[in-house]
Parts: sequence; structure tokens; C-alpha cells
Amino acid sequence: MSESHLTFYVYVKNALADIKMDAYKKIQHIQCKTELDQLELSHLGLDSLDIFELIAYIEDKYSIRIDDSDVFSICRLGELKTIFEKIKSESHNDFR
Amino acid sequence: MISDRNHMPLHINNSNYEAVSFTDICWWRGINQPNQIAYRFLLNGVDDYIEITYRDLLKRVVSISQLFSKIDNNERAILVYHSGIEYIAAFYACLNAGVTAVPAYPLLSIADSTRLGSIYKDCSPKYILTTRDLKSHINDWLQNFDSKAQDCMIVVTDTLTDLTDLTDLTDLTDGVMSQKKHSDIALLQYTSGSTNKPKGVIISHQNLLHNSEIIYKKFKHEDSSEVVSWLPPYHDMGLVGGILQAMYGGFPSNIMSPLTFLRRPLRWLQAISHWKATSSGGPNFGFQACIKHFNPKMLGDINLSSWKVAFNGAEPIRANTLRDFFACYSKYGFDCNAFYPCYGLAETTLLLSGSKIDEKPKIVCLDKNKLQKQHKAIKSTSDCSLEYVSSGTVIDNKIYIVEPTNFTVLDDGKVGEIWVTGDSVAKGYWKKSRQTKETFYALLPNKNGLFLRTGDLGFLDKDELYITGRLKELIIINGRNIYPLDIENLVQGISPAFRQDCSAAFSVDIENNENLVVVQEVKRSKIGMLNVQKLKDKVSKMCFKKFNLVPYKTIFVEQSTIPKTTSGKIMRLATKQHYLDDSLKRLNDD
Repeated sequence: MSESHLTFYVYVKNALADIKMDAYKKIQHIQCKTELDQLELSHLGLDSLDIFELIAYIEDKYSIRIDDSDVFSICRLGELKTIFEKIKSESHNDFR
Repeated sequence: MISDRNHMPLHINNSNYEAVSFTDICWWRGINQPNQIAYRFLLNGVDDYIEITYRDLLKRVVSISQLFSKIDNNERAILVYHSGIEYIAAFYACLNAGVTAVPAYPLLSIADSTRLGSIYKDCSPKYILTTRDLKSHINDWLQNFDSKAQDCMIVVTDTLTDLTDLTDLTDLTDGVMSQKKHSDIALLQYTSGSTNKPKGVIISHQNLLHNSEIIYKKFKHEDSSEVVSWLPPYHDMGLVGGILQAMYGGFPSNIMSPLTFLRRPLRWLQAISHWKATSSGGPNFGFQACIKHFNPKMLGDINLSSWKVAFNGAEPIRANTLRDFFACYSKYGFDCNAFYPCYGLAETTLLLSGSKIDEKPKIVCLDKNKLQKQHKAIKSTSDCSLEYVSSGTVIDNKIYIVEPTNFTVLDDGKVGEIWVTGDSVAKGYWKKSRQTKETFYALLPNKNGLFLRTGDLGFLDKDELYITGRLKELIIINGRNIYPLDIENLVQGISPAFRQDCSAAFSVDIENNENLVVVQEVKRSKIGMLNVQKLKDKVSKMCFKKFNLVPYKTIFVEQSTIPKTTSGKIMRLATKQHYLDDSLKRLNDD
């Protein structure tokens, strides 16, 4: 797993430990990048309140803002990660 | 200019001004209280905000109104906006121009698209009002949804330039303002009832004013009141309670996006503290979210002592939620007397009953068997009791508790359907004459007037109204009332494989006997290891133990099979229909 993947998913796992222990138990031992990318949020048992809570954790940690319409489009963890990376790279470009 | 004022004398800030509609109030405040803050939109949910005065709001309202012409009177305009000041201005602009406002959720999710489609189809709008950032999205949606939609115009309002000064406003008054009567339609409020597809409740200007006066009196609002609202402004509680009440009473409302609240529920409490709000509330889950997120480090030194009306309504009020919330937040100055359980529905504009200010919520323990078998509310402290929170008393409308099969009025302590008459009762459902007749035109022997059948069950105890469930979803087996939620809560707790809040219990008629059917969603990860027979046996065993009945069928389904409303409520009747149609994708044969 690449470093950015590792960092991101480690943080997601930690956040889930706070948000929903059942979800954390399902994800804690998964290390495979593809498996994590493909993991559906509904499979983790996350409802919309949990998903917004997870988004807030990520926004706070990385000082970013994920658009509301993006939040509703996320089905898999990989999609969340793609949005996160896009925002991070845009904000990085802004500072250059 | 305004001809029909005599029905509703209003006092605005102790003046003798009489209003026929919210348009009048908007104008009055714009001209007489120009520099007072009308609304703040809290960008971060607390202290980063944009605000608008009554004068600037009126200027914005008139600018948007100019998009309409006189031939648009009584046409419908769907409002598709994110929560914010532009939505509020567009809403008042519709009223100002005599166009019927139809609030809708912004197109953020597939559920929003579906819902917008059903609203669009039902109300045949001439306009969809929106903002620049949503326009192309709506345009794509409309092309997909109705490629022949040539009669509907998508209009962007946030690019319009405001009028420059108040002189312009006075000159425009006669040309732009629509001369409205009390009985004219102000808006169509599409409901998110659990049991049916959306229906447009026809709300008149009189309904809005009448209900706003009730809220004002019941909440003991005054000039110094201050609102914080995270409620969706497209919903009756957010619109009438969060936005219109502030305009009615002449005090500011501090609004945050409901999505800000969902991300960070504690911002709600931080905002109450920051703005020293007196009135704020929402459904039970809002209080529950604050309990879950309780975090002293995040809360810092917030002070909730200004909070006088913590209204809790729109879904069942849980006594445990009130207790837990108080346990968390009393140390931050939250007063137990601020809890304000209340009851209302879109069909009564908003508020029907509410508790008394400065009194603790009333909670009763009732004998479960007597409630279910005899439909009587008998107080009990035994293990077989259930807790109910009073939704308070009714003013300026009249309610009766009615036996739903023979239409007799029931005495205190007997459970029946809540029927309402009064000026807050809406005019009916848009273009649904059969449902309007069934729901709004009910008659009671020896009582004058037409009655609204709420479909909710409850009882009165010395004028205090207690809600016990929904009539149409009620399971009656062998003369016993069984509340689906009680069964569902029981079943969900049986196995960790079962998804929470994802089961539906209902009854079906088998050879003239009502029989219980339970449908339960199973977590996807557990499907492979499901021991169906063992779990079915356990469900049967527990239902028998707790309710003395065994389900006729217990059906396990994949997650996301059970239909839900956009607000997440289980649609039991729709699930039942899927069952009867044999269209439920089952994980087990029976």
C-alpha cells in the first residue's frame, strides 16, 4: 500500500472506531488497497448520519471541505479517498 | 391595497397593524424596522455568518418578485435552493407576487431527484427558482425527467441586482404586490409521511398567520427572542418554525445548513450559546445526536442558560433522550424546564399542541396490556409498562379523540384517532379530491364543522395530549393494538446480524384474521453465515414472550430492501404492498 493510502485509511479506521465500533471491527484488519477502495459504506453498516460524521472527521483532520453534493455521491471508501485526494491536490496547487 | 383584513387582527410589536399575509409583515418590517437583523446564515454553523436586515431582505424580495408578472398569479414555483438567505428571499418573493411557493430539497442525492420528480409531476410548476450553482444540474435533471418540459422555466435569482433604495420600493408597491386574501394559497407543503407518496398540503395565508400566532403565544416569544435553526427550511418545521416565526415575531433567526448539523451536531449547541438563542429544537434524533457527540473538550465553556424553548417534535419523543440530554448538558446551564415536547403535522400548518413554558416535561408510565387490549391509558409502574411523553395542550384549534371505526368521541384516557378543527387546518391536498375528502372533511355527530383526521393515535389526560402511534400502521390482532415500532425494536435486538431501524412489522389479512408479518434487513456481511431457521425461531420465541403472539411470517431481506422516506422513516405500508405483490427479494423461503 502506498504511503498516502496508508495514512488515509489508518485515519478512516481510527475515525470509525469513534463513530461506530461495528464498522471498525469490519475494517480494522483489512490492509489490501483494492479491498479497502472497493469497500461499500453500506457494507460497513454506516447510515447517512454516520457518513456525515466520518466526513467531518476527515475535514477536521486535513483542514479541507468536502462538498455536500460529493458526500451524497460516495458509495465506496475509494470514492471518498478520490474526492479527498482531488481536494488536497487543488489546495496544494492554490498555494504554489 | 389590502381589502380582507378583518379576520385576523394582528399586533406587530404592539402596533395596531393588521396583516393579511406574511407579505404584509415583510413590508411592514422592511419599512418600519429597516436596520433590524432579520436573518443570519451561519456559514460554519456558529460565528462565521452573513446577515440581512429587514430593509435589505425586502429589497431582495421585490427584486425577485419582478421576475413574475400578473398573469403568474396562483401559478406554482418550485424553490430548489440550499439552505440560506436566497431561499428565504425567494420564498417571500413568491408570496409577494401571488405565486404559490413549493419548497423542495436541493438536488443533492438520488432521493432528492426522485422526490423533486414527484413534486414536479404533481404541481405542474410554471417556474423552478434556483441559484446559479444549481442551475445546470436542474436543467439536466429536467431534460432527463421531462424532455417536453417547455412550459417550465428555470430561473436563477442570485444573479439579480438589488434595488438601490427604499424609495424604489414604495414606488413599486402597487405594481409588484399581489392583493391577497386570507384564504388564498400561500404554499404547497409536500409531506414526507411514512405511509404515502408525497402529497402537497395546501397552506393558505390564514393558516400561516394563525399557526404563527399560536407558536408565538405558546412559546411565549417576545421582541428579545432569538432563534437558532438547523432544520431543513423545505420542511414545515424548518420553514414555519425556523423562518416564518422569526419574521412574525420580529426577532432574528440564525440559520445553519442541516448538513452542517449532520456533520457536527455540537455546532447547534455552540450556536445557541453564541447567539444566546431562546428558541431552538428539532426532532428527537437531533437531541440524540448531541448525546452521542457529547464532548466537553469541544464544548468548551458554552452556556445554554438562554435556551427557554427546546422544542422536540415531528417524531416520537423518547423519555430516555430527555433524561440523557439533561444529564449531559445541565452542567452547561441547560434548564430541564426548557424541554418543550410538542406535536403537529403539515396538515395543521405546523404546531398543534405543545407543553407549557417553564414546566418539566410530563412523562407517564402506562400499562402495556391495557393500552393494547382495551385502548385505555392506565398508569402503571410494573415491568409491563411503557413510557409516553406528553405533547402538551392545544390552543386556538380544537381536538377530539375519536374512535376510528364508529366515529364517537372518546373520554379522557381512551386511545383513539386525533381529529382537529380550526384555522390552522390546511385546505386539503393539491389536486387530490378523494384524499382531501377522506382526510380533511370528516364529520362528527353533534359537532359543528369539518374535521381533519390526523391518522395519529393518542389520548387526552386533563387536556394534555399523548401520542401513542399511527392509526394506519397500527397492528390489531385479536382486538389488541400492537404498535409496529415495539415489535421492530424487539426483533432488531435479537441478532447482531440484523440492521438497526431497518425492519417493518405489519399485519395482513388471512381468512378474515389479522396476522403479523415481520420483515427484517440483514447486514450484507452476515448473509453468508445466516442460520435462518434458528433466527426465525428466536424471533417467534421473543415475540411470544413479549407480545403473546407469533409472527405468521418472518422474512429476512438484504439491506436497503425496505422502502424508507427521505427522512429515513420506515414505509411500512409500502413494505406490506411489496409483500402482498410478492416483490420482496427474500433471503429465506418463508
